[in-house]
This record gives sequence, C-alpha cells and structure tokens, in this order.
Amino acid sequence: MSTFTTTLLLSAVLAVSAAGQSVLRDFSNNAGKTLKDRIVKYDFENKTVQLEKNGRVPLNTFSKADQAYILHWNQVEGFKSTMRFKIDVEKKNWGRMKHEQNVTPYFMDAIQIPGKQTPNHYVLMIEDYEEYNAVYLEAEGFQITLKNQNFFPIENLVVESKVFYEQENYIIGDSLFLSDESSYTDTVTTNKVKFLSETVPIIVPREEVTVDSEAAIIVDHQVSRNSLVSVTEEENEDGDGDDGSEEDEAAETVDGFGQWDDHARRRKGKIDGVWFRVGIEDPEGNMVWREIASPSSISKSYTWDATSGS
Amino acid sequence: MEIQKKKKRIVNSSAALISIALHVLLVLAAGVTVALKYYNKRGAGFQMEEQKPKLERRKLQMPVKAQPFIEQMSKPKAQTTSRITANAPQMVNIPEQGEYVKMAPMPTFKGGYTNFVQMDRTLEFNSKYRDVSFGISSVDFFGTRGKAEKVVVVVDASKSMLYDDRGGIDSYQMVHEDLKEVIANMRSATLFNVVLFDEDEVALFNPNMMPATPSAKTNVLQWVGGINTNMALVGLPEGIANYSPKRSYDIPMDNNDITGWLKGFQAAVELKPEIIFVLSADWGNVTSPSYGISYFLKKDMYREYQKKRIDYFLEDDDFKESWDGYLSEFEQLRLISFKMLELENQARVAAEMQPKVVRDWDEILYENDIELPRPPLAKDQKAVGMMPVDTRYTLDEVLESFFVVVMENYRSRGFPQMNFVLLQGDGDNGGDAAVKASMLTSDAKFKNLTNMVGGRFRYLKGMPKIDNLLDQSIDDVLAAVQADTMEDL
Repeated sequence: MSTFTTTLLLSAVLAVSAAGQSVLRDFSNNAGKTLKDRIVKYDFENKTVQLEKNGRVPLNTFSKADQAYILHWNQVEGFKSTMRFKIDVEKKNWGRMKHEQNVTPYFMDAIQIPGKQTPNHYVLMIEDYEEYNAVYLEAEGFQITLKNQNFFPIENLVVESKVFYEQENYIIGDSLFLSDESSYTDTVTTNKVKFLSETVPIIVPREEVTVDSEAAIIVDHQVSRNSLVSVTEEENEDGDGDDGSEEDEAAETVDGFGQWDDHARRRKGKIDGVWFRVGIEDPEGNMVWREIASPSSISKSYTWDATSGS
Repeated sequence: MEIQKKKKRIVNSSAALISIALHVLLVLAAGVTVALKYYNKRGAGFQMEEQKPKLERRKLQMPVKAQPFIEQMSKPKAQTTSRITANAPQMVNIPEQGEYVKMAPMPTFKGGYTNFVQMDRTLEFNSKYRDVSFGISSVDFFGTRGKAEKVVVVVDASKSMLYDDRGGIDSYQMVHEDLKEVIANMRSATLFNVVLFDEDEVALFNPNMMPATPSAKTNVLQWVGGINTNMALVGLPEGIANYSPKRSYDIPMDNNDITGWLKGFQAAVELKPEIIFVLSADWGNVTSPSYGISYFLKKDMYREYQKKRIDYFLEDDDFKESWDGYLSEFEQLRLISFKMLELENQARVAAEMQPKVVRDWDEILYENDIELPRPPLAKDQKAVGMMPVDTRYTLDEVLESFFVVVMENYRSRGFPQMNFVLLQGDGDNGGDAAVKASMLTSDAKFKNLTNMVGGRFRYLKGMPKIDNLLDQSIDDVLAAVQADTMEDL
C-alpha cells in the first residue's frame, strides 16, 4: 500500500452513548421479574450475560425483548472493537481513457438559415498550423474493507464516504481568435467532494466486505499549436485574404486569428483523499460511528458536516 | 606436503559426495511431501453438484430476506470436502434450488455490496463470483461480437437512418433482421434490454434488465418491429419515450444537450450491463452532409450566438438591405424545395417506392444543383461578442462526459465491453479527407472512441443509395410554385 493510502484510524469510536459503559436499564425475565443493571460483557459461546451488579446470567432467562436488546448491544460492542472488526481503506484506479491526436486546426462558423432546423457550416482548415490535442481521463476511487472477526454477525451497517478532489478548468473557450489572449492559458480550480451512503445488511463472521466510494474523475487536458509555415508566408496570406473576393473565399476575409504560434494551455486535476465513516445504530437508537481517512490530513482539512450534502 | 595435499583433496571430494547425497535425499523427501500433499489436498471451496440447471428460474439479482440472521443460518447443501475447515462459508445460507439458482463457489468469500437501497435490499454479487456458464450469450451485432450475461443493445430509431444516401427504409429492415437474430440467439438466462433513441428521446423496452425468456423475446421484437417500417411514421412513435437520467452527472455537457446515441448509451450504462452494443447513423446531433462534420450542439449557446451574429450585422446599414434580400431569397427557395419534394414523392409513389426522407428542406435543392446564397462571415469575429466554437462541444468534452457517465455507474467494475456500429451510406467515404483527419467526422470519432475503450467498431453498410427519380430544374419548379399560388388565389 502506498504512503498515500496509508490510513489512520482517526477515532476508534465516536459513540453518542457513554463510551465503554453501557446504559443502566431495567431488565425483565420470562416470569416478569425486573432488575436494574448495566451490561458489562456478553459471552456469545456460552450465551451468558455479565451484569455489573448481578454477575453472570444466562441469556435465555431474560424476556424476548431483553434478549434482543442484549444481542444488539453485543453487536455494537463487536463493531466498536478495533481488534475484532477491522476497517481498511485502499486507493484504487478504476479506469482510464486517453485521447491524443495531431490535427489541423480549423475555424468553423455555424449559421442559422431562416426556416432551417439545422445550422449551415463554413469550415476553414488552418492548414499552415498543427495542433496537438490530448486528454487523459482517470477514474479514481477508494475501497473500504470491513472484516468481521467476531464470532457473530454484524447487521445493518451504514457506510458513508466523501471523496475529495480538485479540478482545473479553463476560463475561456478554445477559440482560435482568443488563443493569443493572456486569459487563454488561465485556469480556475474547483474543489469537489462526492458523497455516497450505502447500507450493508449483514457481515457474517470472518467475512470481508468491500464498499466503494464514488469515483473521482480526474482530467488532464492539453492543447499546443505550432506554425508549419514561415511568418512571411503567413503575412502574405493575410494580405491576400484582405484583398480577396468575399464571395469566393469568404473564410479568408476573417481577421484576428492572432499570433497563436506555439500557443499552449493545460488543465489538470488531482485527488486529495477520502473520508469514510461506518456506523451502526445502538439499542438506544443512536448512531455509533467509526471513521477512517486517507490520508489522515483530510480529516484535519475538512469537517464532515461542512462537506455534507455536497 | 604432496601427500597432505592429496589427502585433503580426497577428504574434500568425500565431503562433496556426502553433501550431494544429502541434497538429493532432501530434494526427494521434499518432492514426496509435496506430491503427497498435492494428492491429498483439494482446493478449499464449495463443490457444485453437477446437475442440469433450470434456466428459466435463474434470478441473478437475489433479494436478501429481511429475517433475523440466526434464522437464516443453515449448513450448506453443496458438497464440501473434508478439507474445508473455514467456518464462514458454512454459515452462509445457500438458496434452495428452484427458488434461486445456485451460487458459484466463492474462493475467499468476499462479497461486494453496492448500491443498496434501504427499501429494496438487493444483494448483487459481482459476476466473477457467480457460475458464469448459465446466462452467457454470444452476441454478434453486425459483426461486433461479445459474450456476456447482461446485454443491452442501443439502436438509432431516428430518421437519419433512413436518408436516401443511407439506403432508405430498406437499410432499416437490415437492422430489424439483425436485431431479431441477436435476440433470438440469446440464452433464456441472459439478462437483456433494448434501448431506442431518436434525437432527444430515448425509450427502454423495460425499465430494468430482464431475462431473455421466450415471451420477453416475442414482446421486444413486437415492440421494435413497428419502428421505421412505414414512412408515415418515422422515428420513435409518440409517447414511447420513457427515459430520464437516474442521477445527475458532473460533466461538461448540459443534460439537455445529451442527445442521440450518447443519451441512449447513458440509459444503457445505468442498467450496468456487461456489454453494450450501439448502432447509430451519426456521432452528434448536428451533421453537415457536405463536410461530414458531426458534433453535439450547445443548444442555448447556439441560439444566443445566432442572435448576437444577426445583431452584429444589422449594425451595418448596408447589410440591412442585403439581409432583407437574403431572407426573401431563402423563403422563395424554401417553397421551391417543398414543391420539389412533393413532386419527387409523387413520382416515388407512382413507382411504388417509399417517400423520401430529408435532413432539412435545402437537401433536395443541393441534389438538384441549386445552392443557397451564402451569408457573409463576420469581419470582426470578436465584435460579435461570442465565438462559434462556443456553440458546440469539443470532442474532449464529449469524451469526458462519456467517461464520467460510465465510471460513475460502474466504479470498481471498470469499463463494460462497448461495441459501436455506424450506418454507412452508399459511397460514403466519411467526408473531406482533411476534415476526417481532424476528427470531425462521425466515423473518425466512433473509431477513436472504440479504440480508447478497447471495443469493436464496424460499419453497417446500408443498402444502395436511392437516386431521385426526377431531375428537376429551378425554373420549372418555380413555375409550378407560381401556378399553385395563382390557383390558391
């Protein structure tokens, strides 16, 4: 695993209820007798409950509702254990696509003829120039692995993820007329975050379940143009264009292509990281979360709530 | 000294012999141990009972019963070897035969949970964990082949498939026949769907993937069967379009500008099949017949640009006068083109041919060697206030949109197989060579995209071009138009 994907367990448990101590509650048995106590431990193999005051009590002596409560409590404890319920995050490259070409740049005007549905075109191939155009697209994401090493299943988990990345975009379009302007190469960076929430109905003992984050699409785009003819020839052509017949060579009368010889621009993006949180509802109805971020600095740069809903 | 040396050599050679002998023994012992282990040990995993699957009962999407887990626990019915000691697989509930198709052996029992919806807890196992011999169909769609369990075919149903230079309605008959064969050859456990598109409209045969049962095959062929068989009803029938995107995508293209095959493809991708076949007549929603250029239009920007362009010209008083001249000439030519089309279709009906489908009203004018007057280009394009390039999506923007739509749906599954078929007109060489080289044509764009995604590209060679029956002169048609006008009066 690369250093980037080296993960840090941020906080083992963010329990809404008092951490490490169960709730003091009334338990009742099958005969209707009640006792007020707190669960310390549940022994899954022997099916006995260790209570704080009343000591070890077999599970089947409790009422059905209390049995369900104890089993649920035990699941939450099993989920909270970093030894018995392991969480790991890995960065993945899910797909990439590359398009690269050398073309003849062109100017194309689209004109709406009255009454027509489709535009008419006037195309001028700028054959004295060569344009290199490339776009690299990468889909990157993160995969969280949940491994249940308890002797019992863990049910109804919620896995939420936020993948953070940034992408540069050009400020102006790729018009030949604008390619000699300073703003042609300018880019603006947008910070992006993609949120995803999924549920895992059950993870049986020793099972490993993987859940994906959303995909972050990273774009690297570049354009570069070079003149294939000398400046003198270009000037002569411009001169001819100005004097030429508008009817026959309409495109040549277009002025203002600018000096975009060897003009280039590029925009890139990069992935910042991911923040996962895995939750389970405790018997009192509160969510208990475990969080993990990669790299760990993500959790310092952002707060979960501030980025929610993005 | 001499003796000592000799002795030493003898001692050395004995030691070497002993060492070699020991090594040989060790190697033999290791070999025997490995061999014994190999023959004794069988790979951990479930062993499937050999039995003929009941194909019609296959359900690839297995609903998870919302029962307490303990009740779901049972010992597997599949045969296991005595070497299997892992607890986890034994605790998995193997669905009953007849209720579900048996799951395949799971080497490490790793499941992937994706896209769970709280209301409908559906557990989708990645196909690599399934027995992959049940539902795989070999599909050959116009020469683009593939094998998969989940197949979607995306078909162009627009009028652009029916132009004269593309063979007219007879070419579409080829589509019907190929589609019929593709669907008929699907195994009944294959999940499939058919998507039709016509510009902005997309219709799915079924909202979800469905098994290729005999009744489903009959129904889908009936559904597709009526498309573009009658020139009176060209394109998708009214009210059939039923697709709207399931999610929003962070892409350079506006949702309203995603049309044609790209919209049909988006609908297919959201079904997450393993293979997608696309048949289209064009790349974008705007294709210039003279240059072969095809691209996706930025509709709103295009309208704005046209307005700015006219405003720019109308600032010039001299232009106002000539613009009125243009307008009246366009109007007259439009009437002439309608009359030409009417006369041509009359002749075709008389010859028991299907009527002519045109791209736009000026097409028949060009075919009869009549050119529209050419409006001027802006002398100072910057003064227009907008660039024509802003009215269309670049190839890179379309590729980015395509990639995002695919990857946001498939994520860790990676690319599905994607094959593209382009309807090629008779004698169509893809347009001007320079234009083609600059990636502006449909075929150049589809070919490159196919290479990028590792798919297959084929041309569907349409039927021979349909020539106009009438060779019309502008003067004759103008006289006919004037006669009609007089008659109306």
